[in-house]
Amino acid sequence: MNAHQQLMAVRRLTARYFLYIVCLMSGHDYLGEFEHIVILALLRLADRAYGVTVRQEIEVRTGREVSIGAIYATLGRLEMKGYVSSYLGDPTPERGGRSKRFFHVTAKGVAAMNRTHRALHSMTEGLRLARRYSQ
Amino acid sequence: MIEGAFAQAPRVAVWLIDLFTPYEQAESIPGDLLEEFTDLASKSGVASARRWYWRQSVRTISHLVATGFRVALWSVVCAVAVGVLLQWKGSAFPEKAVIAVLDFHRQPHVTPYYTWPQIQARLFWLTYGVLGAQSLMALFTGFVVAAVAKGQEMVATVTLSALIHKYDNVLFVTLCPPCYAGTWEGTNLPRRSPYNITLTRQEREELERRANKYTLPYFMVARAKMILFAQQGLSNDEIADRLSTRREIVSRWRKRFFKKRLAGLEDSERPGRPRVFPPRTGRAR
Repeated sequence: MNAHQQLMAVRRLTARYFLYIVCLMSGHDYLGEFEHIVILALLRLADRAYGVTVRQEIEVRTGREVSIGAIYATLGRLEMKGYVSSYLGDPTPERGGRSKRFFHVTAKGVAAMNRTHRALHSMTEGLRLARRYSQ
Repeated sequence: MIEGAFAQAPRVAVWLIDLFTPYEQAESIPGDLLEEFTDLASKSGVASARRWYWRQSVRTISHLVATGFRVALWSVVCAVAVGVLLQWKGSAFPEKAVIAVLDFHRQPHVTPYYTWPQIQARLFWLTYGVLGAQSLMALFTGFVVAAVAKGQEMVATVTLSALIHKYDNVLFVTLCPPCYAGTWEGTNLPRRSPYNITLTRQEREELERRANKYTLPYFMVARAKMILFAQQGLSNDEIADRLSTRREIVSRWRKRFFKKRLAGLEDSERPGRPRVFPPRTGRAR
């Protein structure tokens, strides 16, 4: 590989890298299935959403037992993307003097959720799911 | 309800969770688990609550390890690489060091022979000295790995000892620091007292009366002041500073007041037979 080819390769890589950055910044990111469920749970619980309530809400509504670790892993990911923000509450005796960490959905998170909803809606439009696939 | 309030979460599971939880979540994850455990224990019995706690802990730890790898992949990889390198390059070092110390005074060409006690001493130091030096080496490796993988010590050391299981003691050594880290910066301890003091109007009046009184015994005044400060939201440390006493003492009276209210501030009964007056007669002198 001569010097010119090397330079071209580097340029191509740089261009690809910038494309990647632009893709990231444009924010057209859809939520994963569990992320979607967690954000919906946060919206349902409004200002009393912390680990315990989120876990119980999901367990009651979907009937699947999720671990607190799964919830915090997902919330951490969502927080890194800026879809969710959190603050520490007061410590209480029944938690051994530890604080609660409350979460709420940011405007960006609501936008991402709407985007995912629209995508799902347009994909299912016209399909007669109830008749064709149930039981 | 009462059964649930005194239920103890499985200690080993609590300890494991504390080990794997990163610093930022040291309050939220163990707190959430404990809160739900207490709730469950009062609703459906301690045994099933303990089973639930164990199930949750195992799954939570697997998630925490996965998250550790995802969030800090490079620092974990670097830490493991440093650990492997240290053990690979440094595993001969303890023997060499011990032999160098043993031979420090011996001049090979002047004193060529050992006497029997010398041979015994030499064998003793070769076995136990090398063993000790190897443990120190493992300790050192453990600290270096933990320092490189800042915040993800557990993930890094578990991976390292899975790679070279000869050095499982590195894992053991890094299991220790979180245990006494609590005494360094209070990582495992609740940073604020769980006993929040709120006073009724009568209690506050009584305490203020005691705190402002000149003729009460000093200990009554000090205890009353402690509770009044605690009610203002000061931490135990601050109260101890203001009253020039120790945190442990403030903590004790805060807890006793929280549990028994004003009665908790009285002295508790002393052990031993109660005094009788007048003294019995007819005692041999």
